[in-house]
Amino acid sequence: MDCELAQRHLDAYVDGELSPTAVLELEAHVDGCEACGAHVEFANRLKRTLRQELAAPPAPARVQASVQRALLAGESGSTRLRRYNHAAAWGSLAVAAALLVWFGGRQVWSPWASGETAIPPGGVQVPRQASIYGDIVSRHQEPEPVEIDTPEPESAERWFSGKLGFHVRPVAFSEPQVRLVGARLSHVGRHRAAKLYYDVGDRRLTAVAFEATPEVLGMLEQEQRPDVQVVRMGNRTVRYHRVHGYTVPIIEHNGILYGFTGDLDERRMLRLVGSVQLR
Amino acid sequence: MAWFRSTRDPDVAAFEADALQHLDALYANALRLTRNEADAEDLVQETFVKAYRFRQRFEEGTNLRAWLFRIQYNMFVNRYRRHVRRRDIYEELSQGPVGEAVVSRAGLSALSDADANALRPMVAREIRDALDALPEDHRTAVILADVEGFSYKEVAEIVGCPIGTVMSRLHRARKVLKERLAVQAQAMGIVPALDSQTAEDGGALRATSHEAPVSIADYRRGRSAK
Repeated sequence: MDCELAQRHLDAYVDGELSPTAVLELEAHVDGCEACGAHVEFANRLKRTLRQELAAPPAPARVQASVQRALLAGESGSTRLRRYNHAAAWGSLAVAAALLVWFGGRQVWSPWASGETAIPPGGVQVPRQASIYGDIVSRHQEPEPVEIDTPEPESAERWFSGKLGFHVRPVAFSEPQVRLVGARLSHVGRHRAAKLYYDVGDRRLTAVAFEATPEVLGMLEQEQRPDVQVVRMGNRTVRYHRVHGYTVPIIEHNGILYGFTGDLDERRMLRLVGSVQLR
Repeated sequence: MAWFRSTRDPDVAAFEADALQHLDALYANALRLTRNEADAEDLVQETFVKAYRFRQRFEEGTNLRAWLFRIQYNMFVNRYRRHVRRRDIYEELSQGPVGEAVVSRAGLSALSDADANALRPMVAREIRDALDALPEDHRTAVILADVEGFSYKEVAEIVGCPIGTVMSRLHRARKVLKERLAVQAQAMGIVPALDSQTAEDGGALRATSHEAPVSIADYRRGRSAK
């Protein structure tokens, strides 16, 4: 083998694509040829260096999470794909938290206190991403699988026992068409929540139960007028908001907030929530 | 309702576990292709979803990693075709003949010298810059072959071109890299300038002046002799 042939086989040699006989021939030449030896050495070193310097760093955890969510969505037949911007979402929560601190010195106003027309102190709007109503819609849209598959409220209640810092009683609806399907642990903002899945005929309804802490109430407080409506249904106060076409009513019972949303129109949604029975 | 499944199909879970082992490599490659974190994340997500949808087409026993890279590359070309085209127009400019024989033997030796580790301090910046300056398809060939360690055949399958094309892209890309590194190394005083070495290195330089990738016929003869 001469220099010209050696040079022509150089790439295949460093890439390990040369036949054993060709490798022997090339190495025999390179051993006796300093110039070709320098080229081989350089080519090897460049390849090694490229591999070392450009090796893949681990993908960020959010990428793995988004891929797994997308696969789950694919498994359940959904074609919706949505990149979840954690930084923006948590950044907004931080803004919300800062606003809460700012309002901290004022009297805590509860949307569940008497006086349906109470106006929240201050007029600062919390960014939409931090909206509790918006977050409930996100929980409804997310293709999270159930962790307990049951039509029985008692089984779900037992399953949640000890898993959250509060006692979860699945909501019972007086309408027989509404059936519990399953439940899972979830969250609203950064607050742990119980997520309950219901079927209403061929439509879906999601209920989310979470604690009415001062912070949560403070966040809801920021979401009052003009967007949030307040209605009185029987002896229950229902506050609701429309987000991305979904009607999102929230009710309170014994220190627990119950948020709902579903693939139902506003009137149907409100009638259902008005018929809720809570122990 | 599938939405409410509480247990997952074991085949699907197994597929996910196998495929996710390649997440880091696919994300890094997506970043190199799109040069943008948000697009890279979307590209990776869509790659996995597509792989999942077409998982029946994956042949057991073949290279899952190469299959995933092929899906990703196809998706990149289809989805980002407009960007790719725009870049191609720009890259036409760099398609001219590559300067020959700018690296002296002493230069090559100095660049290769493991003790002096001359390549090391400039690689991070210079290699990335040099790679970035390559045409998209040449850069991809280098990344797939050198960084990801795919064989010529696998690279050809991933990007959908003949093996001979992969070989010529690799050859051309490495030549440009070599040239840029040498120029940079000379500028930094790591290797001596070319001129005084030319005479004594005549053999090596002449060799580089008509170097060409091994022909596809030679390559096939080589493979069949294995």
